[in-house]
Amino acid sequence: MDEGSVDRRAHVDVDGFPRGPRIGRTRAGVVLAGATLLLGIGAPWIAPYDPHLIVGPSLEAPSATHWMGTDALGRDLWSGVVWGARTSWMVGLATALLTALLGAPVGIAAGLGGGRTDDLLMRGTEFFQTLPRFFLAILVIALFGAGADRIVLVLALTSWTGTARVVRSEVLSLREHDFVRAARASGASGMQIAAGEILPNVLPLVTVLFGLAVGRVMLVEASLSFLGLGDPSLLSWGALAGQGQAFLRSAWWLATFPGAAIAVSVLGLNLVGDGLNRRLESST
Amino acid sequence: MTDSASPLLRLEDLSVAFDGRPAAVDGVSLRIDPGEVVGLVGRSGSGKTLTALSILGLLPRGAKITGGSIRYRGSELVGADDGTLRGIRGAEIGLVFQDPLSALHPALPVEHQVVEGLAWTQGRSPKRARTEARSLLDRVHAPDPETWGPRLPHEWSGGMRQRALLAMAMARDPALLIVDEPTTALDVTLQAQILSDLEELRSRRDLSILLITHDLGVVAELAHRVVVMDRGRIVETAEIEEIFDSPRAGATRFLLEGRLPASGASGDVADAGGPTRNAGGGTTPAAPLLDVRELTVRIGDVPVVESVDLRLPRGGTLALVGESGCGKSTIARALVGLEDGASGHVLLGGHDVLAAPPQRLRSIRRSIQLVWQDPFASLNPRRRIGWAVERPLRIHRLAGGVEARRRALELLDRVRLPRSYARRYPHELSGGERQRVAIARALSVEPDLLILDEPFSALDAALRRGLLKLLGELREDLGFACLLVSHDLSLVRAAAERVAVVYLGRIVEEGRIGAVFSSPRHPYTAALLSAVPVDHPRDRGKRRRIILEGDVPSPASRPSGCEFRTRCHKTRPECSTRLPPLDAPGPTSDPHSFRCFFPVQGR
Repeated sequence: MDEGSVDRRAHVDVDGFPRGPRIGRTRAGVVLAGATLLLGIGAPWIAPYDPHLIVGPSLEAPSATHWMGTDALGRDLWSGVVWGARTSWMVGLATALLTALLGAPVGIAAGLGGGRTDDLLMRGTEFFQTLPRFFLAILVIALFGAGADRIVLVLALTSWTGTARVVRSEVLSLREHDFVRAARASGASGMQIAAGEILPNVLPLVTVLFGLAVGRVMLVEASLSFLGLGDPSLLSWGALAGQGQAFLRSAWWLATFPGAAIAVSVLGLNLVGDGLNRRLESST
Repeated sequence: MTDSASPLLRLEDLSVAFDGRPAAVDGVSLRIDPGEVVGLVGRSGSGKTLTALSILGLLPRGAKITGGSIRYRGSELVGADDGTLRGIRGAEIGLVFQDPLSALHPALPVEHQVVEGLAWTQGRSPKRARTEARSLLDRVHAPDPETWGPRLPHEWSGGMRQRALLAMAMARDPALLIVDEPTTALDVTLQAQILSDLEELRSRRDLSILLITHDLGVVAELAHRVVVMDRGRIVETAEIEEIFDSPRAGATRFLLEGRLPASGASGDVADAGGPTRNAGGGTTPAAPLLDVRELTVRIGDVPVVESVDLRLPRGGTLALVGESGCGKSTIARALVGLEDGASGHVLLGGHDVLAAPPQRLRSIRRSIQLVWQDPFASLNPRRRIGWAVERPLRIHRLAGGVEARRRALELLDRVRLPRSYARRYPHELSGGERQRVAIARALSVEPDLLILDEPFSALDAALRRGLLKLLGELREDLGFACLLVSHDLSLVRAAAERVAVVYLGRIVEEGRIGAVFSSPRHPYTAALLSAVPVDHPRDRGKRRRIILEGDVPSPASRPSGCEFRTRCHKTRPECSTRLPPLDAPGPTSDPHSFRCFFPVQGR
């Protein structure tokens, strides 16, 4: 149509974001986070030794046989880091998934429902926000013993609130859009609006939050393990770093490599999250 | 304006391109003489704004001047260093932005922003700056600068903000003013105010103006010479009269043809539509499709719509007109039950919309469909066009799956969009195309009543006529009634049979289009009509213009008696004592009623 072509071009141009370097950063994030994810997935094949077995002399510095050295008992640290990736990612992904599944519906319901529904849901959210995460974790572990499943539950219970609040505020602005009004005016029910109009518009946001949540949860999980509150049957970067800190002066590698693994994954995830977020902003 | 004088600004062969793309501005040459108003006209995307921004070195990121020269008073601006350009910006060339809300800082007092340029360059003391700001605001007729100057932009109305921007651009007394779509966002009365401000500034200070617009009506009011752009090139340059009398370029004719006549016989479109259009001109005894009685809408405690009565027969067309903020859109939304504070009766085919329980309301909504003002906001950005058109069918469970898809494609045919558009997303469509989609979506459930809320105000003037014609044809085929909400009087004249003029949430005049437009009785209607830009530059100054000063009062503090008296040019003491009733004088089958004690006498 004659009315179309020129207008459209102008739109893209005036936006004119310099896309190059940002895509570069996002790619770097994908590579960093992707690398540790692959380590976790392929742990049984990638790890050269069983991380629980004594396979060399104790406290050996990094070498060709033990890339990251060995710990006080003579276990291979590289194998430990590889298996630790699996734990970190499992806990991170499971928690972030629960967070999204709890937070997004609550946020949409509160934002769209308004009034009493909104009040009720938001006060509930605030209750969960006031729960001290570490204290709750310690309490649960003290009562029910340590375990990855419990950690996931505790972390999800204390972090879905962020997602709910962000989604709610997005819905509050979305529902004032004419296309939502248009749907209401043509007789759509609340559920139809939530599923048809709102959901596709908050999904990208939820994805971004999901990515950032994975990174944040990894950090918290590492902290808990560092303090000895992690699942004792699973190897974790936090636990490795915690054990290593006793030897910080004599065997630097013990705390450094697990710490670096945490840093690389979280940095990668944050870069991906940021990149997605920027894409999201520029597309709306 | 003499040919011998050296031009103030001269562009020669100017080209601008975004990297890696074909030129967006391609070999543009134009000159502006001292004291001259040049209209730079073209549809959106034709490169007129880019041309203007390149003069001040304010091109958006990624755009570059790829060739040509810009000379201001003989000195070259292309490639000039930042210091030189800064010396020109504001001091020599002022720029008035298009969107008055986003061009003002939301958290600083307006008067502060008006003199910001002065403060930066000349180090004014705060007190002196304030006095200057107020005198500048006064000069552009912003009401009561003492009170309003210290307030924040969101407290100002749209027209006042536009004036603040004008004052800001004039602060350093530039020789050239670049004005980008100064009135596109404003309704006729404000447009007339701003245009007369511009003309006054020009004649008093020998100011040159580069007026960028898609609306030839604005140009007809103000410009001496017109430059028409299309797809980045200049396609025609001529004296103003010549453009209107003998346009040569196709793009110029396109812009001219898109205009709706401001005066004269009512347009072709209303004549085309409406199967129930009664040839005899008699009354229609049948119950009206829409019967609104005593509709009042409160927002909080404030009645923004006050006891409105409306009647619309099946297949008829009624227009609601008035300035922005007068409550006409609120009325439209209340009719579909989207306003929580609505009371009174809205009967659609005998069923009361306002009293309907939710289930019932959903089915009533099937027979009223809305087309929204902003086609960019009314379509879900993450849903395909096909989905959007099918949506109402699915909501009302009229069709699903293949059947819904087939009907959606047929609707696209009806609004003359290619069927392939069903798979596209809204951002891939232009404004005009999106509005066609919105119409297709509304018509999918075969409504009895279509409400059009400022349907074309976000679109280029040139597109309006095509859409209007389309609507007329659809109405003839499908026989739905139309309620048109608009501040565009020429559109209303072309599209509607009856018109109701709304002021401060009350109807002040109602009647047949022909009667109301040819002999308005209420002074407000007369003022609105006189504010419409002239059809042809030769009519400039011929029409006696009633400029409505100030803005609509707040509905929270309605004036006593006749609510229009504070802005009325013929107000008398009696007007403040009681509210005039909405009456039609004499028994008549074709009522023309108005709410005024001292009506304007027919011409």
